[in-house]
Amino acid sequence: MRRRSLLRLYPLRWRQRYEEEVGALVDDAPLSVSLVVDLVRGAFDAHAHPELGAPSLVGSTGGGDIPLTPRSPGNQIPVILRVLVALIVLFVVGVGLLYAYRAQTPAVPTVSLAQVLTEIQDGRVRAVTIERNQATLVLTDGRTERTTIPEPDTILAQAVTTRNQADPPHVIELRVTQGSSDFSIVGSIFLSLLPLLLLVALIFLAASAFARTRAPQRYELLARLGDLKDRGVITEEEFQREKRRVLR
Amino acid sequence: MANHKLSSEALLILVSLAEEPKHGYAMQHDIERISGRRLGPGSLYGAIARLEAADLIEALSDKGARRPYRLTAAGSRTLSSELESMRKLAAAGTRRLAAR
Repeated sequence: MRRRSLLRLYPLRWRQRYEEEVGALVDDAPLSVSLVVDLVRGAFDAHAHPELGAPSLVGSTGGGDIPLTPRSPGNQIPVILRVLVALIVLFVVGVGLLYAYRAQTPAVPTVSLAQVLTEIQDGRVRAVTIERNQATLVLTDGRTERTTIPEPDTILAQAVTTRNQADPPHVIELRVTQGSSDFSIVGSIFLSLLPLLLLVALIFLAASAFARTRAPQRYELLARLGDLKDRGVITEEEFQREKRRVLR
Repeated sequence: MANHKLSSEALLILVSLAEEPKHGYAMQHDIERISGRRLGPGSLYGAIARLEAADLIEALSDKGARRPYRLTAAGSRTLSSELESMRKLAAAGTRRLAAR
């Protein structure tokens, strides 16, 4: 149960007392951002109040000075805290994804042209791809190498052709492409834009979170207005006017 | 205990336990039923831990994941006085709105 691993954020004493019970609820809840935020916030709270989670206080006289409301001035703080935690989680996930993407494109070692020519003559190369002043080699043992060649190429293609004529059973596949480095350009643009995209996503998420917290207030207000109208405190006309104002 | 400020979660738990002892899962469902609010596990047990530490509720037995809780005498008194002050507040608010 990977969801339960979130409970490791709680202090040990708290876990000894409540982990089993909370774990049962966590297993039952669908995995969502709100669940993660709820548990992370709970863990912060538990660390801020280490006195909570005592084995059992039944019959004891202590505990009178523990505030029953989480330490937070006003009702706005939990919302801000929630958004903040969500932003941090998103940021960490974003940076993690960035690193994962980078890790997926393995680093190709760059070697000298002289070494490449030796490898070709020794028959250790399976395929060569020439692209402008870059050549990528696939060796017979599966490794990939890259080298820089003079442009236009007069040496490498020649060396491959010579080698192929000398040893027809082991032909080196030669491919010359005219600068179709589109993918790498797209990739680098995407990578450079990724932080910006992440930032926009974060701002969008924060805005929608605030909008969500505000939305119910409008409907509460409408319900109160409806109640006032029902009880004859305000007229239908006044109600409609207020309703338009609230929903605008 | 009377001068404790109850959080809304704590109040919901006390109201839920006023009916009968319940474990966390049953509280979560009962609270959703009576208030429309679903408390996450972290919020629920944050409030349970506080109420327990303040002696307003107590764990009944060691039943592992399904440990039931019940109101203590102090918990009943606190809930009663909290509801009374809410009743007064609601009455005052309604009266003032009606007089406008």
